[in-house]
Amino acid sequence: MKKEKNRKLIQLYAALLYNAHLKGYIEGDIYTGDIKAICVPGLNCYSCPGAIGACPLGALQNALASSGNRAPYYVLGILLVFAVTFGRTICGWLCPAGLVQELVYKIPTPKLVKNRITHVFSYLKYIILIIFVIAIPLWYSIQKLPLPAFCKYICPAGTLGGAVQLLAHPTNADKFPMLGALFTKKWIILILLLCMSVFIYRVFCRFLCPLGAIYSLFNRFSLIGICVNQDKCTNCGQCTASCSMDTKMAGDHECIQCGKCINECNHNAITFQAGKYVIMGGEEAKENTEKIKRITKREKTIAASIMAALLCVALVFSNFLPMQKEPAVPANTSYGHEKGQQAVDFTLATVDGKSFHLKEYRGKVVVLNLWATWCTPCVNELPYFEKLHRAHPDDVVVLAIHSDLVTDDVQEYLSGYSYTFPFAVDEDGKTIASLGGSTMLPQTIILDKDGVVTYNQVGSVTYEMLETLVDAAS
Amino acid sequence: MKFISILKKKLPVIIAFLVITLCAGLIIETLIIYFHGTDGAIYSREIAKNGLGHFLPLLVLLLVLVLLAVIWHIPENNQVLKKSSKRKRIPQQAVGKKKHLSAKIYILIYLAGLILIIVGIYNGGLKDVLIKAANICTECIGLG
Repeated sequence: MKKEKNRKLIQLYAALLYNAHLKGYIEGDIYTGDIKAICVPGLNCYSCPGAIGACPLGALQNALASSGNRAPYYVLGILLVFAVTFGRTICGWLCPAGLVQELVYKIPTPKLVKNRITHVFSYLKYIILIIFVIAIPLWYSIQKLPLPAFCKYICPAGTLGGAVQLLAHPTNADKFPMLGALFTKKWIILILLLCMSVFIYRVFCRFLCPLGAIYSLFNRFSLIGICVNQDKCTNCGQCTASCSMDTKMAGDHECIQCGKCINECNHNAITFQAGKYVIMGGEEAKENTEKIKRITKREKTIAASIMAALLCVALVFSNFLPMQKEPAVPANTSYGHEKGQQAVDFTLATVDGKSFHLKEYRGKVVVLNLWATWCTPCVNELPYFEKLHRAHPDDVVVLAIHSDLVTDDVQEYLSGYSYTFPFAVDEDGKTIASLGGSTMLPQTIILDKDGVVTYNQVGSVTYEMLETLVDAAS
Repeated sequence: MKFISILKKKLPVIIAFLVITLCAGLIIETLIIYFHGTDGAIYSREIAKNGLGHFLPLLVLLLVLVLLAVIWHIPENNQVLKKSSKRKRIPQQAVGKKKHLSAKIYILIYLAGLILIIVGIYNGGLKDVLIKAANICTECIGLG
């Protein structure tokens, strides 16, 4: 019981460490600091308001989607280090998604235990890994469309951690009109998985999680995890019979290294080890030997202190250090990016070598689109702006402004398309900040003939919407 | 007293029924909202509040019953829907043995991982991750 309690505490610790940006829940926005480039080991959506690190699965899909330009060495390196060190110990001890499922499973109801069917279904996660995490992003990367297919179509962590927590905040009430078919599907998937988690132990981990599938490939070799002493093991099968996962043997690819089997083994044959160090189990081997060493109480205290210090640093760093850019808005409050305010004048260099001065277009309706090459909805709606530009060559000006966060050569990217309206790159991010650019893309801003903001919203637009908005601004 | 003992016995089944009803209700409510809405105006804060509000009494009842189950020490695995397969004797050759590789191989693997990370930082992979993580992934959270 004590071991299970310790495991729960470590799971809670990991969930808090990954989501240390508590200010995000108060302000309704995500953390944008540089430490977000570091991937956390478990499944934790980086669009969650509290997330201070990147999700390894989301990072992998996006890296593969950008692989037309560069190979995803960074993400692969991180995954290799995590997998070899921990294997599926991450699933059992360090994953918030696993914690949520285990807590939901505690609701006392009849349960569906493992059987041959669940064992067969446990291989579904490998199919999901191959199709949704690897194949689809790679296929779309050829067409220069970054598509994180698993995140977009299946992942419940994004819906629960990202959508629900962001939309629950009053400041994000304007995001509700963006919800449509995709959110409906993902919301239903989330509810179904939560419902099934009540009756089936770790249903997502066992059948759907591609991150678990990746880690399972290294489970037998991982430095930290379950070890079975073959000299003591009598093959009674008690360990696998008591295991809630679809294991065939302790420590195999389905084992999440939770250590539950340690208590079930009547022969003390199972231990939880970090290399040569025994952390749990093997009670008979009290003395240190050449082959096995026990973690002492002092070492445990030092490890706990380091963990506590790490959490404190994460909490302070992510909540109290400034990281947001200040918008370049004059002191005169009539200037700004809100509806009814005068837009701040700006000058940007366009990718064709010319420059765009907003002031020069007084007397015309100006349509500004904030986009990025790494944003699929942005890329998908560019043709609508092209159509608008061609339909109103004299009275409407369209400008697409690329985020200062550039991953590709924008000019080279655009050379594959035949857009005729101007594109600019906001190199220092000040123009986007003055237009009220947020952490979400795409964003469309429409200015009337006097340069006053008539529309400024995050979200995809259609051609019909653009026509309606331009008519209103005229 | 008889009622309480019957309730204790049937509580897990009642909770299961409530969970399924709650989830089914949420799904049906979501589909009704979706099919009634028009483009750009399907969901709103008020619609979400009203929708969830319908299920609040059911949720409260569920919480009360779960609390009762905790007080009465009803275990989570009270019944099984399907019996697990009989405990099989594992053949000797199938016994799980942690294959701890030699220290040299682990060092090589870690070195390979480190090299990949360093190369990834230099070729822009780190920046890719940061850019994606520091912006809300609208597709990931279902905002399209």
